[in-house]
Amino acid sequence: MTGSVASVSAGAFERITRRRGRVRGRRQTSWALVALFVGPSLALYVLFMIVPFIGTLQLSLSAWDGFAPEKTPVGLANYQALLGDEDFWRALSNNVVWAVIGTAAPIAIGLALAIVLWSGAGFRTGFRAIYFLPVILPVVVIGLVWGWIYNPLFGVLNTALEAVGLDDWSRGWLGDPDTALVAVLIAAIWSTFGFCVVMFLAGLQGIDLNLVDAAKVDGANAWQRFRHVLLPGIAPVFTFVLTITLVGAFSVFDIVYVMTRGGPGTATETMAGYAYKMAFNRNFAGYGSAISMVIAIISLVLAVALLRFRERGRTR
Amino acid sequence: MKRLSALSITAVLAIAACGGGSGPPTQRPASVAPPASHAGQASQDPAATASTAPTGPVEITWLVGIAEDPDIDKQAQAQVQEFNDSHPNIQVKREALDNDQLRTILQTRIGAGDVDLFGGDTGPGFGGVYAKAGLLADLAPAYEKYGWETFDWAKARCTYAGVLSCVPGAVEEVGIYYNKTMFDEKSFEEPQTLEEFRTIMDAFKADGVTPLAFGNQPQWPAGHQFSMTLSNIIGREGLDEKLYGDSPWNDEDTVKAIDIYFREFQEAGYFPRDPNAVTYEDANALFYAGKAAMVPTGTWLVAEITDNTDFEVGFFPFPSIDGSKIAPPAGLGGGSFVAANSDNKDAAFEFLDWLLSDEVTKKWSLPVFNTIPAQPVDTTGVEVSPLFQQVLDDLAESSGETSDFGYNIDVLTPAGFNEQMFTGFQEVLNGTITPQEQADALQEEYQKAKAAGETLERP
Repeated sequence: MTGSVASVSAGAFERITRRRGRVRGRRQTSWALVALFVGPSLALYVLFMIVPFIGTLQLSLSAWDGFAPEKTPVGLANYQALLGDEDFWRALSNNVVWAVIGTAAPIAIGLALAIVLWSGAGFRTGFRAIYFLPVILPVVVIGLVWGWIYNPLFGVLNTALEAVGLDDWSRGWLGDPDTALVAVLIAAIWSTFGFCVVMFLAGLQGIDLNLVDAAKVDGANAWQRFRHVLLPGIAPVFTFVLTITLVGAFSVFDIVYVMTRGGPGTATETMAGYAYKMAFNRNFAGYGSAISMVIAIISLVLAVALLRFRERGRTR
Repeated sequence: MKRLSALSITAVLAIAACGGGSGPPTQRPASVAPPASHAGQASQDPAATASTAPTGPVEITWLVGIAEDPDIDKQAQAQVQEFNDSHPNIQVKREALDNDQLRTILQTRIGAGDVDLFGGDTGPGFGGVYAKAGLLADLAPAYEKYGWETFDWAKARCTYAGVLSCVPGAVEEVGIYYNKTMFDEKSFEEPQTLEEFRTIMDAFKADGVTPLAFGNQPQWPAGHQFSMTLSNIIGREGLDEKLYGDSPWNDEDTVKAIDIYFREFQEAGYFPRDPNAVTYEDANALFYAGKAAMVPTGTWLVAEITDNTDFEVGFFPFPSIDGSKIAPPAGLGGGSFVAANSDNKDAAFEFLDWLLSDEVTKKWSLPVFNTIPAQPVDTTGVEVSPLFQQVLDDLAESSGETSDFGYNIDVLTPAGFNEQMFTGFQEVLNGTITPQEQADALQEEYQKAKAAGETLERP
């Protein structure tokens, strides 16, 4: 019995050992695969995102003109200075305006157009390509084209207004502090709504049409179907688009720089533009880095809050 | 959902941590015109210079601000090619970038040992900062070796804390170009007083012609206009007191200088509609197209104006203001610097010497680039346009640096002051702030810079 038990035990042990070896082998293989697939992109991410992020954080805690070999640590002095910097608060307020209008408008336009296309409008592929076209244009080109449209000397906008008798409305749109920010925003909205269209359309195509039909049978009107069927169906995409546009709104730089350089005066100055100006024009690299960190913090807080909000909605 | 969350956070980090996008374009004038002539140097003979070159082929990287006119930029490249062809041991690689872009990447490129020679402003906001950081080579030995005859005042602009750190570029003057045909049709002469100037501008305005093509969208042109009015009102001595002494920037004279140009002229409708929305190029184009009678800018634009106009163009300094002396802003447009960590300093010096030679001046600097060197010039046998000849005559005797001339303020003032000039003058034009408020803000910025040791020392 003992021998038999011993024999069985030995066989079982051998099988177990063999199985464990296979498992371990599989584990080793899967870790190697993970490293193979994730490693390169992770390395690039660390090198080009995490390292600069930490570098910017370090710079933000120092006084440095961008040239001197030594950086003087100043703790949180740059952040304290920001609190009393009127120009910074003005830039932040412009970003808030940008975030509200520049997020709501492309999402609203994009969602409406996506629903129209999804509902069976003809030439869907063609329209999708047309709407997406501005997204692939370089920002510099968009800025130049809209700059021509707004040009007070030969711009088509003023020409059109004057042609219909609205001479009083024509103006130097980018030179007037009352209109400059909105004018740049319109160009930015034009360049981003196509992205929203494509994303929402992709989300809508994933919705089970039976749910829509069932809602119709139950007597739901168009608004109720949108509110209770479509919107929940595209909620993850909606959150993603909202997050991307909102974060983009707080780090906007290029289109503003091309069209107005933050002017007239500081009427269109944004935080990223102000950070650039402080770091490279005025040689306050530490201070400029502190502004960049504020942008990063605002963006992170917003992104996390939006995702948490979405998660809570799903669990409910 | 988790994947979406991760993607979103990744996007947040990607967008936010990198501080907002790629480098911007610019329309700021290059001001880094190829340096020009000097008389009687041993290095005029290419064969002789080649004999002093290093034994193996050396490549020099030369970073410069791009010229406004692509044709001029092509010519600059051709000039470099000529040097390379005649100097097999030295190959110059010229890289032309937008000025703002150049500022953004230069320090990194120098740190990487990737730049030997570069152009830029000689003021405290650029040359001064690089010198303070120890990034510039001492050029005194090269001056001595090659015997460069640069004017003393120009050398002073290139000297930081006693170290001669650059080779001055072109001498430039800011004034007003005018359409001679239009002036002749109305029998106007170049105005000598502000009253005459107003009369001329009123007449053109009545004809539906833009009197003064001033485009201030890029912001920096306003600094030049301010330099014109302030230089006239207080002269070089008065400016010296502001730059190096204790004279404030918010006194009555400064407010007057701002008020005349940025409030009164704007309200009188002398500029294109909404000048803050008009680019420098569009303003110039108005003039080229005959839709504006005058354009206020600097002598760096002579070549472009000559190329783009089919009418005769004249140039006059801003007229006398209430009996003041006429003192047009003039000075260095920029300079060439050698990186302190360059392994090819000798080759860079040799290239600079070639650029400064009489041969190159007569072939390139004067007739092609229309740039005026900061050293004695022999213009014998050089064919230039009548407009450039007028500018040459205007600047030749004094070389732009006597009490007859004022300063182009933004090349002598610190970055914070310049930033206030650029944004503040737009606000004065808009009526958002008053000339007095702008003057107060300038004074505040200058005091801050002075306290931080960022202002220039009296030469």
